[in-house]
Amino acid sequence: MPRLPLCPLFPVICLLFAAGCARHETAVEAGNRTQILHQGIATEPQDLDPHMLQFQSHFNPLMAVYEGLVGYDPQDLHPVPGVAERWDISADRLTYTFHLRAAAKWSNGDPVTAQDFVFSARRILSPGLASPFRYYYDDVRGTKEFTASAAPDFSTVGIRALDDHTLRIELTHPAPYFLFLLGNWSWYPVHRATVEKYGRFDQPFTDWSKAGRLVGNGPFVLADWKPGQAIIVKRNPLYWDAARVRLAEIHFHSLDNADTEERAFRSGQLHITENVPGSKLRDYAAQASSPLVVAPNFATYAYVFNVTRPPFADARVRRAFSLALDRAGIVASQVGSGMRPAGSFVPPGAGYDYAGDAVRFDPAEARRLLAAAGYPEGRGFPAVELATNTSQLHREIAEIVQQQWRKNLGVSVDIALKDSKVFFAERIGKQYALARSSWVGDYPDPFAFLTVYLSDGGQNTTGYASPTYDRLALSAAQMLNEPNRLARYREAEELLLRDAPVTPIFHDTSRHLVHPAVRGRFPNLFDIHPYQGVWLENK
Amino acid sequence: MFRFVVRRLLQTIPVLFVIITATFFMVRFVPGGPFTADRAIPPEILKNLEAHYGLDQPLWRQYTNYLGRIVRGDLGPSFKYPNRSVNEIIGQTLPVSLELGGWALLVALSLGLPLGIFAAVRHNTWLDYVCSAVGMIGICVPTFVLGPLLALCLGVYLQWFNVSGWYGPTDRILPGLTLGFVYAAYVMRLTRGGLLEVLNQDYIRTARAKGASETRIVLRHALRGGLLPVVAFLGPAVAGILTGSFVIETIFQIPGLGRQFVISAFSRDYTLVLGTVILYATLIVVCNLVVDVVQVWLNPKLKFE
Repeated sequence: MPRLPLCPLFPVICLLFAAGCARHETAVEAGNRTQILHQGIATEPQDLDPHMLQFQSHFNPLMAVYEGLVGYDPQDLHPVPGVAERWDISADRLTYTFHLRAAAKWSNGDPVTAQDFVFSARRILSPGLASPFRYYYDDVRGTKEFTASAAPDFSTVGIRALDDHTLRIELTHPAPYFLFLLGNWSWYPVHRATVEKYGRFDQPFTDWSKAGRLVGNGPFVLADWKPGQAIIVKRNPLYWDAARVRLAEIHFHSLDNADTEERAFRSGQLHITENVPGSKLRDYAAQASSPLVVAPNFATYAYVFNVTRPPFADARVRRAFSLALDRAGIVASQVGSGMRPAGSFVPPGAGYDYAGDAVRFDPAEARRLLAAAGYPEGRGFPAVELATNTSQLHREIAEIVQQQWRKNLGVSVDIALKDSKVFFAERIGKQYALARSSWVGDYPDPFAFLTVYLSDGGQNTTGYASPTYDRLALSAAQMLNEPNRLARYREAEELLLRDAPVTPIFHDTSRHLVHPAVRGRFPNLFDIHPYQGVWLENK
Repeated sequence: MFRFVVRRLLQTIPVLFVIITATFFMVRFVPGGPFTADRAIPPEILKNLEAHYGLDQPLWRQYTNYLGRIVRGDLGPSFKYPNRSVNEIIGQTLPVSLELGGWALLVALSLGLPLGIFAAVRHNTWLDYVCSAVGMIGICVPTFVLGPLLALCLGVYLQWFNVSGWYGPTDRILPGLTLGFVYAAYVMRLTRGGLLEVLNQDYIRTARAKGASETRIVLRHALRGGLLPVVAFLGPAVAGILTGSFVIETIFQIPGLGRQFVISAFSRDYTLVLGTVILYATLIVVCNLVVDVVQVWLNPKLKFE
C-alpha cells in the first residue's frame, strides 16, 4: 500500500494545539503578582448607569467606579464617610446635613459638589428616566409627588445644596436605615456634563457611560469594556482616598453559566465567582480548606398563596399549609448551602427578631385547621398547582414540600415548572394558586420586608389586603422610640404570619468561591464588598 | 447558472417574509415581556418604558413599523441592551461565531477527510475499524458532554487552556475542537462511504490497469466523486456550525451570536430574537444555494434548471 499524504491542514492544527499545551501562568497567579482582581458578575450589565442597574451583581462594577455620600464598612456594613466626610442629624431625625469633602473629585478632575447630588436626584426621580430604583428615595420629602407630577418642580423636593460642599436632605419620617440607603447605587452621583453631552438629562440608555466617556468618582475608572466578556477598571489616581486603594485593576467577567464559572475558578481564571452550582455545594463544603464562602443573607425564600380565590381565600387553609411544613427537613436537603429554616418572614441579623411561634411545624394543628375549613384529612380538596420557575433548587424544594403536604395534610399538589418570564408574569397577574416568591431586603430594617404585604404594595402579588396590618406597619415607620418601633413591627409580623398570605421556608445565604489570596473581603448580610480595602496576597 | 442563482434568491424573499411574520407574532404571544422580572416594575414606569419602545401601539402597527424598518436594514434597538442596536450587537457577535465556525470547520475537514480516506483505502483492516469507531463515538457524544470533558481535562486539571472567554488565540482551541469533532465524525463516515463506492467502479479499475499509482488513483480519480456525499452534507453542516454553536458558546462563554440568540429568547428581547432569526434564515438559504451550485460543478450528471 502506498503512503497517503496527510491533509496539509492537519499538522497546522497539531501545531496550534501544541502551542497551547503547556502549563502557563494563570490569570489568577499573574493577578496576585500585579494586584489584578478577576471577579465573575454573572450576566453582563446593559451599561454602567447607576440609576438604571438591572441585577444586584452589577453593583460590583458600579461600586468600583462611583462613590456615594456614605460608604459601607466592609465587615458589618455600618455607614462610613464617603464623599461626605461628616454629617449632622436633627433631633427629630428628619433633617440630614452632609458636609462634602473638598478633596472629592470626578475622574476628569472636576470637584464633586453638592449640586452633583441634587442633579443626580432630579435625574433618577424624573418620570422620563423611568428608573426602577426611584423608590430608594421614597423616604425623602416630596419625591413621590415630584415623580407623579405633570409639571415637576424640584424645589419642592427635600434635597438641597446649601453651598458647594453642604447638602441638606429632609425626610418625611424618621428612617433609621436612611444612611444605609445612601450607600446604594441609586444614590450615586452622575457627572452632569457627561450625561448631558450624550442626551437629555432624563433620557435613559444614552451612550454616556461607555468606556472612554464615563466620568466617575469612585476608587476605580472604567478602562475597557469587551462586549459579552469583561469590564475592566483601573485604579483612579484622582480618588480622594487613592492611597488606601491597593488593587491596580479589577476585571469583571460576564459568566452567566454557573458551571462554566466554576470551571473558570478552578482553572485559575477567577478570584471570585458570583454563583456556585448547587450540585457542587456538598463537595466544596466537605473540603478541608475550601474556597466556598457562605454567609447569611438578608433574604427569605417563601411560598405565596393567591388569597383572592379558593381554596386559599380561607386563612385556615393557608395556615394549615404553613404548619404542615417541616422546614428543618427541607433545609437538610441542601447540604453545604448554609440555609437556615425560617421561623419568621423578616430574616434575623438586622437588630430585630420576631420572637413568636406562628411559623412552626405542627401537623396535628394543621390537620385540625384543614378539617375546620371543610377538608378533613384532605378529602375534597381541589387540585392545585405549585408554580415555580425552572431551576434545580426550586424543583428540589418543591418536591420535598409536595411530599410533606401529602403526608401531613393528605393533600396532593402538582408542581408546575415554568420559564422565568412566564412564571413572573403569571405571578404578577395573580394567575396562580400557590407560587414560589423570595424576597431580599434592600436595607437592614424589618420594614424592608414588611412593606411588601401592604395592601397597595407593588410587590404584593397575593391580593392580601388588611387595614390592620397596614396601620401597624405604617405607624411603626413613624415612631422615634426604637424599642416601641420594633415592638410594633413584631405585632405587624405576627398578624402577617397568622393571616399567612406568605409562608416563609428558609432564610437564604450568599454563596461564592473566593481564592485564598483575596484579602480584605468579608462575608456580610447584604453581600456588599467595597473594593477600597481589598488586596491580593499569596499565603 | 446566473439565472438559476437569481431565481433561487428571489424565491427566498417570500420565505423570509413568512419567517419574519411567524416569529414576530410568536414571540409576542409568549407570556411575559422584556420588562417582566422577579420584582414587579411600578406600572407608571412600565408605561414609560413601553412608550420608549413603541410597545404601547397596537400590535399590527408595531408589525408594519417593524417591516418598514427591516426594509431600510434597521433591526431596531435591543431590549436587553437598550443602548445598543440589534445591528450593532450582530456586528459585534457574528464575526466571533463565524471565526468559531471557521475553526470548527477546519477541525472537521482536517480530521474527517484524512481519516475517511485512510479508512476507505485500508477497508476492513484494523485501521478502518479504529477510524470507524472514532467516527461512531464522535457522532454519539453530544457537544454538551464533550465540551465540559475537554474543559475539565485540558483546562482544569492540566491548566493548558482557559475554560471560558475569547481573549487570546489559545482560547479558540477547546471550543473549535469540541464543535469540530462531531462534524469531523460525520465527514469521516461520509468520506469513507463515498470513496468505497467510487473505488469499486469501472473507471477506477481502468486507472489501476493503466498502472497509475494508488495515491494518484485515490486523490485524482476517486476523491472527486467520493466527496459528493460530503459536499451535500457540508451545506447544512456549515449553516449548522455557524448557527448551531449556541451550546458551545454557552459552555465556553464565548461572546458570539449563538449565545445572544439563547439569551434573547429567555429575556424576551423581541427585536434581537427577530434579528437573529432573520440572519440565521438567510444564512441557511444561502448555504443551501452554494451547495447546489458546488454539487453541479462536482457531478457532471446534474444540471442547473
